[in-house]
Amino acid sequence: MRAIKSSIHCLFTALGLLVVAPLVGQEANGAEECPPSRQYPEGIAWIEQNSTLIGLMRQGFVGYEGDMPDARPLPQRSLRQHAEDLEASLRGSQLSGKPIHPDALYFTFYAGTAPENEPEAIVISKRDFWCLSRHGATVLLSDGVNHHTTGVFSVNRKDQAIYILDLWPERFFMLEGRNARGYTAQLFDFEHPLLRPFVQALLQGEEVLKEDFTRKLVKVDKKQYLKVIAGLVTLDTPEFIDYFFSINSTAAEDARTQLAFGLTLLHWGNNRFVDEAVEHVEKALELAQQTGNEKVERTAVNRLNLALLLEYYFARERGDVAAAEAKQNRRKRLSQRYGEERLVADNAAIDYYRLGSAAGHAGDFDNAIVFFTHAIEKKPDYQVAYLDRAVAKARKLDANGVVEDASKALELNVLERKALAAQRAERHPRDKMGRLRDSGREHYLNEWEALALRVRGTSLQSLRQYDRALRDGQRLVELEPDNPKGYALVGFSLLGKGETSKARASLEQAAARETEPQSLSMIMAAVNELGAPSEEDFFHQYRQAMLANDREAAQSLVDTYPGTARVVASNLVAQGQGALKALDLDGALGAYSVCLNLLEQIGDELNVGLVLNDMAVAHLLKGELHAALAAVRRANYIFRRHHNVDGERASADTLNRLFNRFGTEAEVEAFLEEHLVYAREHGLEEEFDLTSTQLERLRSD
Amino acid sequence: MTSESSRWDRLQTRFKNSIIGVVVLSLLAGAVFLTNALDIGQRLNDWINPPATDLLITPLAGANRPQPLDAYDVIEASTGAAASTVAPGIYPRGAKISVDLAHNRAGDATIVLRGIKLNSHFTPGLNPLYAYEAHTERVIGAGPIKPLVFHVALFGEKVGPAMRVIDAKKNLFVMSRSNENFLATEEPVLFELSPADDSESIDIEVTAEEPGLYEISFTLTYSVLGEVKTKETEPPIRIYYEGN
Repeated sequence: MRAIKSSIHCLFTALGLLVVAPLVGQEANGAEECPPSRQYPEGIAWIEQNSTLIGLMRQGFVGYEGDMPDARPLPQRSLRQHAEDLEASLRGSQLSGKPIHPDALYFTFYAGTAPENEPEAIVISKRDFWCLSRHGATVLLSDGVNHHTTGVFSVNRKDQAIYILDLWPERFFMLEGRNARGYTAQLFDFEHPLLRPFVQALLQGEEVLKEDFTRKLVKVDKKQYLKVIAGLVTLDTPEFIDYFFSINSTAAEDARTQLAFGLTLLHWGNNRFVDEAVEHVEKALELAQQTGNEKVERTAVNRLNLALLLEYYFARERGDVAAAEAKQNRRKRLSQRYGEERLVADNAAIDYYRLGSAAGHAGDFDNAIVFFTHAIEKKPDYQVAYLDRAVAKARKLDANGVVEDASKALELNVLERKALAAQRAERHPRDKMGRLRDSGREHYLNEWEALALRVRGTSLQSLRQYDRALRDGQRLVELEPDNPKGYALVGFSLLGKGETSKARASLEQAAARETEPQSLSMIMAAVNELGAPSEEDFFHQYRQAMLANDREAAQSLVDTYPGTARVVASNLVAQGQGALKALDLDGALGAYSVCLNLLEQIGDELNVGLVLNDMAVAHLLKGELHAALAAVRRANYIFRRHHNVDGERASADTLNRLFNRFGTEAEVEAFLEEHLVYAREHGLEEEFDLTSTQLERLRSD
Repeated sequence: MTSESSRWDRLQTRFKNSIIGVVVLSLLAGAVFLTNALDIGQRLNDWINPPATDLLITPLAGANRPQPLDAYDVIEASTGAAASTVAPGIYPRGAKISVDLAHNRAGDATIVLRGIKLNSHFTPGLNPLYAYEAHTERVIGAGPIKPLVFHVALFGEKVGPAMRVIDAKKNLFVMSRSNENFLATEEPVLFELSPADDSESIDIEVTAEEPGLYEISFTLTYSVLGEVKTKETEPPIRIYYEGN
């Protein structure tokens, strides 16, 4: 499914560009004042295309908030804050596996003056706004009294006009005859050819017959657009900065502009761009020194120190000693010039937190603790700083320190949950973005609580406070029933209390869920000590039960020792893979067939899919095409059901390899006819149905 | 107790019969007569010439000072010789003005507002003393147009027609037919003030569209018992626009 969606994205993107083209005009011919618009890089273009289609889809279907009698208070978010919301959503999409460019980030441009509290905003001229306006950009328009955030559909540089895609076009404040300021914007009927298929794809193939897909764009002439443009947000990669300087080369020599780009790259969500950020902040510092701009110099010095320290820790984490030393030396030079106090004078709590995390990842736990402590000093209710300091203390084997910090983190967690509940109760029912933020916050609170319980519980065990550790483990299981760490904490705490049979049951549960080899072997060692059968004994007993066709006994064995069962299954997978690699096809199939039953009884469907695909490959290599087809089809179905793109790709590859063996359609047809018989003989009903359908389609084609 | 009362009675009789007593009592009686006679005269006069009902306009200063547009701060420039005649400060790009009107509660007559006219004196060109900057971070891009607010634009010497949103939901708005009178709309707008009414505010958002300095005020035309009167808002307000 995901692969299909991805290909739909690509198709829409390509076709979308063709659709926008006529409204764009011949940019190259008519745009002496601007170079051609920068094309969106791959992995960003489809986001813009999708946003456009979603905007078109929602036009006319979204209530105008001010119309409601109990209208919710408007979110008081500036354009830059709006960009931060977009960026948070983008990061979320990246984490969920959407094919988004890894370097994607938002740039915010303002007209007017450089804002004190939003130094990441880049202040530009009206001319630059015109050149930067492009399909997909979000713009803030203001005539001084009416302010409106909306989207650019396209820019026609030849006709000097811009087409706005607005959710409420009929109420656009610049429409001719509907404003006191002489604006003459026009409505423009438009039918996007991709809108219908897009909506259908979203509805998963359901026909949309009654829907009218005509939408309205607002055409604004360039002069009037430039009169009202107040801000612009655009999504791109750091390469966009070079493009911006190609539009406005003098801006490259402006300290404030260089600083704003540097800060955009250094933004807390973007550790990825710290190297690039250093370049711009250093340039800003140099320019500020030359021009005597003390304000920029002060900020640049502070940010540069932060960026260099982060780089130093990143280099240490990579094990690049030379690079770490170079960063350290640069930072020392900065310190010599400005003094250590000035370098950190404007540090915020979040800066210290970032440094603490970077130091922790680089293994410098002493300094990590120092940085987290500074963060807590700056922000005494900084829950995650307490939590991460607890983790750092755990690495220093300071169990009492861990218990203290994790307890404080848990205390703050409770307080924040209460505050969140109160905030939720007050949220307006239509405040979707607010509720989304609340859910995001709750997700983090759950994660933090789980981590705090885990860290504290483990330390309590080492302090032999098993009752408290047990309570933490039980709460962790309640909070995250799929997390093996909770069961392990419960199991080991019970073990400490001497309750061995209960301990074994919990540790078996932990082993059944654990994927980290080191943790698993530790748990299994404890399980074995507690009298569970060894892996070999388990395998033997299980095999006997299966050979005797006693599935019930086999299932009971799996249920009693789920952890051992899982380890045995993993061993069998490894054995099968090894045999397959060595082209010991019978060996591979032997191991896999036992493993397949075991995994089915454990309920690990995804691994069933993996095994089936490997079995299909083995059958294919053996020339057992019918068995191969039956196995790979089942594997493919499982992967699709679990949205496992890699598995889907691998099984599709196996299928291709199978059917590529046939030279003609007639050969395929003959094979499928044979396969029908095979399916019937083996009692494979679904396989029989699938093959019948495939045959029918082949014949009708 | 009995002897004291008779002493007081004797004193009263003696006072009434004395010359001083006669004079004092006569003067008191005259004063009472004059008071009653004058009150009747006043009532008579009020009946013939009722007290002048009039419109009160709160000066556009102090607490009622216009507000700058969202993205701007008032330019607190030195106003020089003309300081006393204009409102302090210069409003970049435009201003949000609230004209507070009230009945003077003299008389029972209703005041009917007939017209609002924006007077503008325009000085083209830029003045570096008045340089200003827009604070885009303060501009929150959301929300419908505020209803029942007059929007007027200044195009140099020319004042544009006033627009007023009546109902944003129905996309209903009115545009004045003449820039001489905000209230000259297709659908007549009736503003009335009776003595029982609280004060009423007329919100006007003025923006400049051509660069230069504008000195503006509003002339309000109203009628009381058929008599048409005018009053001008004070002090004049200055708006400055640097252009794009």
